[in-house]
Formats: sequence, structure tokens, C-alpha cells
Amino acid sequence: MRKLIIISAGLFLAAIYLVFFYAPVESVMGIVQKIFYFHLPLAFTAFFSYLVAFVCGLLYLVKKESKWDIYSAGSVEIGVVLTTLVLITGSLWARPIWNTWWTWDPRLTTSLILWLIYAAYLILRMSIEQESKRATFCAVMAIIGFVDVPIVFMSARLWRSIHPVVVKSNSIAMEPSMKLALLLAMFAFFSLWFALFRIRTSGGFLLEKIKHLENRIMEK
Amino acid sequence: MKQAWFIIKKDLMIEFRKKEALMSMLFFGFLVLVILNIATGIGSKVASSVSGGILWLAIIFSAVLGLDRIFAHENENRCIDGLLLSPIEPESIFLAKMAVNLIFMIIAEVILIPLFFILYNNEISGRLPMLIVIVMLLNLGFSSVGTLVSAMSSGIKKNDMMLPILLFPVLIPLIAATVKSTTELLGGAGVAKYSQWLYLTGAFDLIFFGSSYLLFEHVIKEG
Amino acid sequence: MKNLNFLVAAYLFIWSGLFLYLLFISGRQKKLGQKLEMLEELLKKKG
Repeated sequence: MRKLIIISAGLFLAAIYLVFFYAPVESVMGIVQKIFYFHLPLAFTAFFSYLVAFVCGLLYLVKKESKWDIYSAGSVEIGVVLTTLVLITGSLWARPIWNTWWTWDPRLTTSLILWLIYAAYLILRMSIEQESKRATFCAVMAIIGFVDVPIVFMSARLWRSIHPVVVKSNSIAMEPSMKLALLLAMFAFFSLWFALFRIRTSGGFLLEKIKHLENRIMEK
Repeated sequence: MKQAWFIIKKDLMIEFRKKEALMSMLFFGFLVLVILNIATGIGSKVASSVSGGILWLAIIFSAVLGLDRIFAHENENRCIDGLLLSPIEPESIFLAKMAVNLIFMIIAEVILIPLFFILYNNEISGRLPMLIVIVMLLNLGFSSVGTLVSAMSSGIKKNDMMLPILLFPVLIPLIAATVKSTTELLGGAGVAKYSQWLYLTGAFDLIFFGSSYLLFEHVIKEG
Repeated sequence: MKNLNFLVAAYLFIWSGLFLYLLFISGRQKKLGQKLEMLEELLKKKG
């Protein structure tokens, strides 16, 4: 685990170096564009968390083994943290570039709705004490939340294409040096994701052991 | 199918005998229509660009109240255990509960939609068939997910606000698409202008009917 | 160097957010580890 954290730290230092000293300053947006190198990997890893939660939720319902519940819960929690950062950085980017804190751009809107769905998941988790019930309900929620993603994205995009388009978010011309910096940042975030995931889930397993021990003590 | 029919009859009999759930639903929907008119200062003539939103807000809120009841009396006396012990399959329970919810929603809409047109002075002449299509598409999607989520929320004793908290975020695209197509319809646009929204609603219905149907068994066994 | 403040704010949010979360989950884990040790000792004492 410690190794994973050290690797991520190293990758991050290298990514920051590339972002600030290697990749050129974008000509139109200026220096704010450098948010992008960390905004996009945040969004990717957030989405990846929900994918993991979806798969682990399915596996839980099939196998009914508590480890899948622990994996699923851990990745949702990480996903919500990452999505929060996506929304904040997106907003800080939108303000100087498009002159608003918030645009109902399909990607931003999708992130917001995802945040709502999985924050509801976390509330659901807090509200149930009985373990098998909590695991099952949370697995179901992780599945229907993820199944909703394509529809959410489609509706957000349709909504915009009917209204006049003010801003275009996906027309960033990328030079090779920019792509390299982005790629490294991507690696750094995925390695951080696995570090967080390991720490978070090992906490879940510890809790399970504690419950087990408590039961044994009670029996005596 | 026969089993499902049996549950539908039982539930409808109970609800119509007690009536209070249906009355509360209708009353609350009407209340939302009135409050929204006063709160937005619209007065008697409403711009078609916001009318769709107002109509659906009232219907969705009243439908959530009805949804809350779907599993309520099963849980009160642990009747659900009896249902699960009986040879009735979970799939039939799902279909039956969804049908009961659909019937409730349709009753509420038959009363609330005309009230909306009266209170907000809207015209619908000749576009009624299309409105019915939109309404039914929403009803299907809403009651598919709604039945699943309601089965979950009724099993949570610690927090009785779980139903709207879990349901609304998932429903956002369905509500957005329905509001959009209703607004276009009331504004006098042709079907071509909002057919994409109708396809989206249809896709939502298909995906969520399928997944709710499959997932329901797991939920009801834990409930 | 226009809009540097937005860039700085974004980076501050990212790093402090991630760091706080890391701190939070490792703190939680440490507490759980201590509790586990305590329980194990208790179990040993009881035989």
C-alpha cells in the first residue's frame, strides 16, 4: 500500500512538471487551461469508480459475498469525492473562460446528476443497519445508478442541442506535448485511485473482522 | 399472471375502501398547482415554456405520495412475508405492484390534468392523443423504478425520507424529457420537433422496466 | 498570467480535497485497527 502511494506521488510530481514546464500555455484560454490536465483525469477516475461499483454490485447480487459489497461501497465513496472535485474545478474553469460559474453543458450536467445519484447512495448506506439488507439495497442502487448514465448524458446533450449553443467545451486543440502531460496525469490519477481504493476497502474488511470478534466475545 | 391479478385486486380493494391515500394524492397535487401559480406570480395566462414543468411537478409530487403507500400495508403486519412464503413469484408481485401504482397515477392524472388546463388557461384542442402518449410514457418509467425503490424504502425504518431521495436523482432524465416534450406540445409544435424526447423516454422505460423487473426479487427478499 | 487566481484555487481544491480524504480514511482505518487489537486481547483474556 505504501508503495502505491509513493508511486502515485512520484507520478504526480512528474505530471505537474510536464504540465507547467513542458506543455505550452494554451493560446486562447491562457493559463487557466492547465486546470484541464487534472480536471479530465478526475472525471475519468470518477466515472471509473462508478463502473467498479456497478460491476461489484452485480457480483454481490450473484454471489452474496460481503467483499463485493465492501468494494462497491468503497468505490462509490471515492467516486463522490472525485465528482465533487470535478464539479468544483469545472466551475473554476468556466468562470474565467465562459464568464459563468455554471453552464448546463452535457458533461457538467451529467457529472452533477451522477453526484446526486451516488450521494443518495451514501445516504442510503447510512440509513440501514442490518448488513445483508444494506448490501443488497446498495448493490441495487449502484446498478440502477450506472444504468441511468447513458440516458442522463443523452438527455443533457439533447437539451443543449435544442437550445442555442453558447459555449463549446470539446474544441481544445491539443499539441503532442499537451497530450503527453495529460497522459501522465491520467496515470497518476489512476494510481492514486488504486491507493485510495486499497485503503478504503481494507478499512471495510477491518470493520467486518471487528463485528465478527464482537460476536464471538458476546457468545462467551 | 393469475397471481399478479389476485394481488392487484386485493390492493385496489383495500385502497378504495380506505380512500385516504387516493384523496391525499389528489389533494396534494392540486395544492402544488395552486402554490406554483401563486409563487411564480403567473396569474391566469401562463407561457407555454414553463407550463410543462408546472404540470409535471404537481403530478410527480402527488405520484410519490401514492408510491409510498404501495408497500406500506404489506409491511405494517409483515404481510410481505406471507406473500413471499406463498407460491407467488416475486416477478408477479412486481408486476402487480407496478400495475396498482399505474392505476393510481392514471386516476390522479385524469383529475389533475384538466384542473391544470383550467387553472392555467391552457388550450389543448386536438393535441390530446399526443398528450396521452407522453403521459403514458412517463407513467411506465416512473412506476417501474418507483416500484423497485418503494420496495427498498419501505424496508428502511431508520429514515422515512429515502423514497424521494433515491427516486428523484434517477428520474431526472425522464422528467426532463417529459417536461420538454409537453412544453413543445403545448407550444403548438409538431411531433417532429420533440420526437427525439419521446424516443429518449421510451428508452428510459425499456431499460428501467427491465432492470427493475430483474432486481426486484433481490430487494423484496430483504425487505 | 491572467486568471492565475482561478488556476491556483482549482489546484488548492484538488490537492486539499484529495489530501483530506486520504487523511480521513487512513484515520478511520487506524481507529478500526486499534479497536481490533483491543478486541483480540479481550478475547485472549477470556480464553
